[in-house]
Amino acid sequence: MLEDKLLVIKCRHGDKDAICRIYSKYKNYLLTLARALVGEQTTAEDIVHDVFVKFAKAVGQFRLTGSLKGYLATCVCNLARDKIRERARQNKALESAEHIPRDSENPEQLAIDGEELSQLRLAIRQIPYEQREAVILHLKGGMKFREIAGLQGVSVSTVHGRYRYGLDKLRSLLNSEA
Amino acid sequence: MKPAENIEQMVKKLNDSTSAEMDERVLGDVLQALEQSQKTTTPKRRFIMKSPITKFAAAAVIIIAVLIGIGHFGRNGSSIALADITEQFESVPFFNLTIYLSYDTSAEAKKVEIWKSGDSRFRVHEENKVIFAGFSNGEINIVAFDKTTRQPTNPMGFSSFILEDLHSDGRFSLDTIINSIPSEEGITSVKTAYTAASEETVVFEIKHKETPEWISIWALRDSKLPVRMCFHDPRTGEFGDFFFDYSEQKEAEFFDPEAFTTQ
Repeated sequence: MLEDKLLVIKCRHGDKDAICRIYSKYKNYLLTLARALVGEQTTAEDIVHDVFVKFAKAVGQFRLTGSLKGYLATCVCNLARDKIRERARQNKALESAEHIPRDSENPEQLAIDGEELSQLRLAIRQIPYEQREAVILHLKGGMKFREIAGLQGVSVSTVHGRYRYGLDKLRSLLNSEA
Repeated sequence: MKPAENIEQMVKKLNDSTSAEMDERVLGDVLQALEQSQKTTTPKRRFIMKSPITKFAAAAVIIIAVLIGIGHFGRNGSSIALADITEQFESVPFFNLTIYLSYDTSAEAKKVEIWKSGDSRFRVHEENKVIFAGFSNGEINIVAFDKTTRQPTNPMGFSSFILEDLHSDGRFSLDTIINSIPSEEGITSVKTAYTAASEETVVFEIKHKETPEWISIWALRDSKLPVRMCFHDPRTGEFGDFFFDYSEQKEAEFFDPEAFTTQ
């Protein structure tokens, strides 16, 4: 995008307004991605924070070759994986780390979401991480299966399979709750 | 049972917003990080150019094209005919390029003008700035002045696209630039069409296979020089319209920053 390229160039020259504009432009999109991936508001906020701080630190050497939105989304995805792994290490097993108690969420946020979305968030946390990543990055991140395949280091058909399995699992979980 | 389509719609509805507290915390740290990064980065007052000066002209338009859209395309688009046009443009001694740009449909189009002299010096008019670029010993020197006060100012703006990429890339032919773009298999398609109105004009339509943005380049068949280039991204409303003029060679004084400041 033309505007993003100009904003990045301005950031390289230390333009504070430009980096504020980038933050303002993508903060909600990235927070939504992060929260859907890690399943927790506070951790999601930390991820978005870290992504922007790292971007600001490295912007002097940063060259934008594709879309800035895609780049930032990839950074969120990588940090989310780190957080998931860290959580898994702390819990000794990834499976137990995946199940975050509902009360770890901000009650106000749950109230804002409404019952349907709250159930969806709970269901998303229960599907395997690779499937979750495929579903969230495709539907919310706007990434193509090819891009997700590159990110996950697998074939496009594998990503497509993960996506379908993820959706099936979500449907099954939501229907069982209903 | 909830059909899969409903699940997809539900996931798309997920939407989180940052709180004021989070904004304050993140922006505080981000601005601090930006400040620190500036201290450790050498200011770019001069832009090093490794390629022959004569290739700057091609770079000007090509880089603009790349930056506004061709940058998303791949290497399959370099046809012989299009290469002819870019090659011819490299050899043109002088030109005037007028650009109209808009980042979205609601924004007013911004005008940028670029002139190239016979000795490869450049003058750019962008908003309230007059920017001069010249070369010595393989390096490009850029100075900018406020149009009204004629005092030195920051050259930052759309034209910095050109300057930044000259600095970083050092290669200025269309093929090399397209080849340098991170391409994925077969993304670009270039179609050549002759306009019905005039057999003198050839039009290149460059389209992305998966996304809706496009670029059209109009060129004269005989001279093989580009006369217009158009870009549009329907998703964001961004557009650019580029008009090339080869009719008037400006005097040397026009490209001289000292002459500008003493007028």
